[in-house]
Amino acid sequence: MSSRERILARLRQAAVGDSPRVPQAVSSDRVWPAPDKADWLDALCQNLRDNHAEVLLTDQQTWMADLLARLQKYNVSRLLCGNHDTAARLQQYIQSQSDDIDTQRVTTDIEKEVIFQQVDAGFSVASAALAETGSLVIETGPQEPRTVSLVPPLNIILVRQSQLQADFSAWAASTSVPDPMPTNLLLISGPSKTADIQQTLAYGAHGPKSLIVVMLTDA
Amino acid sequence: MAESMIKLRDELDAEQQDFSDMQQQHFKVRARMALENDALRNSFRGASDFLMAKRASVFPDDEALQALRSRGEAIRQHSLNHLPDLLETLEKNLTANGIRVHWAETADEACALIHGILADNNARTVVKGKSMVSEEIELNHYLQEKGIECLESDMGEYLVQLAGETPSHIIMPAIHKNKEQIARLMHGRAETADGQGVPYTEDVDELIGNARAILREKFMNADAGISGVNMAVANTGTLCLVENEGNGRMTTTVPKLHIAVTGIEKVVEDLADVPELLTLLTRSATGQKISTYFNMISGPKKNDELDGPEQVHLVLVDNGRSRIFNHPVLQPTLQCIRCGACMNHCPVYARVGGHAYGSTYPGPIGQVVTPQIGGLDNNGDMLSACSLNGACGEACPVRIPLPALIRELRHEANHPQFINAADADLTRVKQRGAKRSLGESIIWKGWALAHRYPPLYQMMSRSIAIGRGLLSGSLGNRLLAPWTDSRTAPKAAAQSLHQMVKKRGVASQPGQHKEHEQ
Repeated sequence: MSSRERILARLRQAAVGDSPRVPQAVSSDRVWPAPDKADWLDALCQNLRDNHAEVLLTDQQTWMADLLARLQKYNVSRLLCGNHDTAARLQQYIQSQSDDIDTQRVTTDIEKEVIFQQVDAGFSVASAALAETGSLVIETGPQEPRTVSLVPPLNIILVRQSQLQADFSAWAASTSVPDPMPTNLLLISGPSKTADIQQTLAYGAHGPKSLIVVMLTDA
Repeated sequence: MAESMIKLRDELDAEQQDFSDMQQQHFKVRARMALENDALRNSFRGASDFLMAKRASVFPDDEALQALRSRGEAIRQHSLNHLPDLLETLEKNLTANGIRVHWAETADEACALIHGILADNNARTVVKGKSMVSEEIELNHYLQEKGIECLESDMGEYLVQLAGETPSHIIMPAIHKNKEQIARLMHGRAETADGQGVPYTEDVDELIGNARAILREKFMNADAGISGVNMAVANTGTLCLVENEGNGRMTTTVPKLHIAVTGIEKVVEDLADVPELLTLLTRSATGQKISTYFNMISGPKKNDELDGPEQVHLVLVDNGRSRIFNHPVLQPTLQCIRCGACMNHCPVYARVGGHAYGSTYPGPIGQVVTPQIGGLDNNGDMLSACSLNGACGEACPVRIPLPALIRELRHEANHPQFINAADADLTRVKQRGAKRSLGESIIWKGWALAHRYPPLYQMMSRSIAIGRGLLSGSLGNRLLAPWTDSRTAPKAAAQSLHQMVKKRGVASQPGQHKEHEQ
């Protein structure tokens, strides 16, 4: 018998209770009240700010100009983007407006030395946002590499108000859950941080030191 | 090298030696040493108060908290009730996703498996995300002996490894150190890739910045990453990791090879089970609504993807868990989601700290897990470090009845029938009866007898009253020494309560003494 078989045999030997499937927490029976839809945007922004993120409330028309101003304030000279249409438009816009920021879209395997040592900021696009915890859902894949939202010191994530959901439970019960799951699905709720030295909070532990959330409002 | 640096390094070496000497001591000696260390007590008191307040601040509504705890308990119990099936489903779906699954019965087997995977891939340098199971199986030590460099990357774990110590808390591993101690440690021992030291600083941002620079270099160049798992989702074949620092993501994303290691109890059935366990975990552990990162891994890099590990492996570790699973009372041990709230709320842990327990898992959950994994003979003493005040049971987000489990283990430890590692009977704790002593059991037998038969009870109380001078004398002192060494000796009254009320004219009710007599 293999270890696997021996472990499973021992587990099957045990007396266990019989429990039906735990009913999913949805709508009225949820014990943790989710914020009302009208409050989702405020809740998301507040939670993100509480977690040291900067929220850029903007819209479809002006977001690229608003973001460019932030990039200039952060002295970004090299921006790395995923390989999606939004990134293509951003790249085009920045190239037309500024000579100081080199914007690159990732199209081939990422070189570690480049992303670790030369890139100042990474631009990602979220597929959903969770109001109750201030979280952004990132589905990585060919268009959205894993390291873009992890390695550069400045992490920028774009999300639309229409993609807001109440919380993680609501998201997990919704049709937003990708099937099959992407190889890496992330909830990001702030810049990297640690309190491992005497409970003192410090940002930029290993990943991004700052997070800018570009929120495209419906209005 | 500057003279001051030589001196600092000598001091750090001496401290490390003190630490390993302390770890060789008996539990009671370690506890005493911890109690006498003011700096240590300040660290733990401060951390416990801080973490308790943080947790309370994110559970403002007690009714909602209690309801959520019940759901957490139900989810975990459901998972355990279907554990073998869920493990098979998990394996099937992980395999379909391209994640290779391995099973290990023992710590040694797990270490050998992991080493085998590393060796197959010629991996010489490893970065590690936080994993208590890897501490439990002493993986670093094993790999080090095989010539593989294994670097802890969680900030707290990194500092603890740099000091040559072990974690003192499962969530905040370096909780026992203050920032002055960490400043000395970093200055004395930390080295950048090109062999440079780091300047002395007590500024936390600078300390973290220095460690960040060192560790990012390591992430970039490591051959493999080893991480733990907080939850494994059977239906989707997904490994979930909870973290704030980003080192978990680095470990599981940047190197070509990722090996995850976890206990077999960490599986849940469905994605729908995850949100509530996650919120219970982060709120109970550090008082956060959610951690900075929740990392869900469902496969290695696909051909058209531009980054991520080329191989992902999961090592499922039993190491005694299937025995815990078979115990009729102790099975809820496996409900644990490793938040650390029980230790944060434990008045004993707050005073003696994590190292006194001498085990990977300290505090109440450690007192329950460790003797079951390692046996009662070697690990049964820590069961006495509990006043049964119940704080841990009330804090536990998945309602593990920790005080009841500690009591059950005390019973098992003192069971009249000694069983040594009896594989035949899985429903018993390893080394049951190891702590039983003849003297103690005779005293308890007599005590029980005296409380059953009133004449015997009166005789006992009278002789204590008569002999009370003797008890406080030198003979008594010697007899009671094991108790009175660290406690005030009880003073017997000259008259028993019975005698006093009798004297005041309160008569015994007729027949009262007859009640219990046959």
